Amino acid sequence: MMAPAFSSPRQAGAFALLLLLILLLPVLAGKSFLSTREQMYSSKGRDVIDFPYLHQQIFEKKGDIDIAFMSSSRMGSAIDAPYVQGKLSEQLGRKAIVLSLTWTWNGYDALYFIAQDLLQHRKVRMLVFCDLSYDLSPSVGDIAHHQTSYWFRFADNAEALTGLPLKSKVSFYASAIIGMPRNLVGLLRSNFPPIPLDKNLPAWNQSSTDFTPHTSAGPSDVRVYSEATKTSFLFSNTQIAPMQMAFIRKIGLLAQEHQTQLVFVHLPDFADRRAALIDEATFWPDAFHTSVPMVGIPPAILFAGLTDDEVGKLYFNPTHFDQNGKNYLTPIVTPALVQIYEDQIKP
Amino acid sequence: MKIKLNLETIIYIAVILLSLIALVFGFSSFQFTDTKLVYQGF
Repeated sequence: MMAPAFSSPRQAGAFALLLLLILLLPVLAGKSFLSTREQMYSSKGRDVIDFPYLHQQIFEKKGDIDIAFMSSSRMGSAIDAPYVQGKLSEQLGRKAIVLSLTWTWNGYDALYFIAQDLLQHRKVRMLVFCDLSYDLSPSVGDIAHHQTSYWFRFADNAEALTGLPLKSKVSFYASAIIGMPRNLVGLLRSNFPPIPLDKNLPAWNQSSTDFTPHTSAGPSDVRVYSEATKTSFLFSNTQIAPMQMAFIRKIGLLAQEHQTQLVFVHLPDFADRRAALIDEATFWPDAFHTSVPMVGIPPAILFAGLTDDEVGKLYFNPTHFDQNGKNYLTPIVTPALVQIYEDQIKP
Repeated sequence: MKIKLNLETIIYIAVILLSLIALVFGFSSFQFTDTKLVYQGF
């Protein structure tokens, strides 16, 4: 016969109370029993997301940021921020600050919370992002990002849950529960400073073989959406999960509140390499309810004259560019981004 | 079978209910939805 789960009703009662305490911890702790938000970002290493870098840029560095590339690893693999910084500095006649703050996995919820923390500490003039609803099935798109416990705390961020589906609210609360033990430990002692970054670069910053494509594609082939260029764009009206749409609107409001110009960049997948049009899930300015210049280059032009094998040498995997791809794409799109900065940002 | 509603029964019902709530929270988070997708994300 199986042994009973509890040796006495008293033990069962104690277990029930412990469970109740754990489940209510995010509410009971309030703000008074939480470590500082800095301690959240610095409580994690670089294994999944480069949290030490995010921590440094949000909480330690000071000064305005001209352009912040903020998105998933797809952005990190495609855009060389130091190159853009060099070109923007030349154009402005001063040292520009251009950063790449990227993380693993999609979801506009991650962008919202990380951008909220960044904008509370530093002025960001232009925030460039790519599609973060990309490849999120409706079932996954309504669930909090898998690292949510590092940036979402119920006492700090509960208002962000307004307007979300119940399933999403439950997943955020669950993430808050998961984060509570680390937050409570953060009250007792500070985290160690980050270990300096060595040569452990993300995999997409490496290429198996160096390859420089020779094509006729150049900056003049980049399209910024307008009446004149709209025929180069295709809006497929893909269904975007309700939670993603809610965060898209919150990001629009956040950007308006902080006078940050949002800019969308289309990043083609390997599978789209022959597409004649820039295929977007939706018309982003309408989704964000604010001005969002959309930048892209039709993949058929970007990869014109290259064989599939050659295009493959520009990709780390079907959705991420590698170092070759980054070196190829960045100089092509940079002039358009610099131009948008000049047009939209008031000195 | 008739269940007598005394303190002991209430405690065990509370254990079951709270465990179910904990399971709902557990399964609501990303890791439990599709492990394969999480590892693709890494």
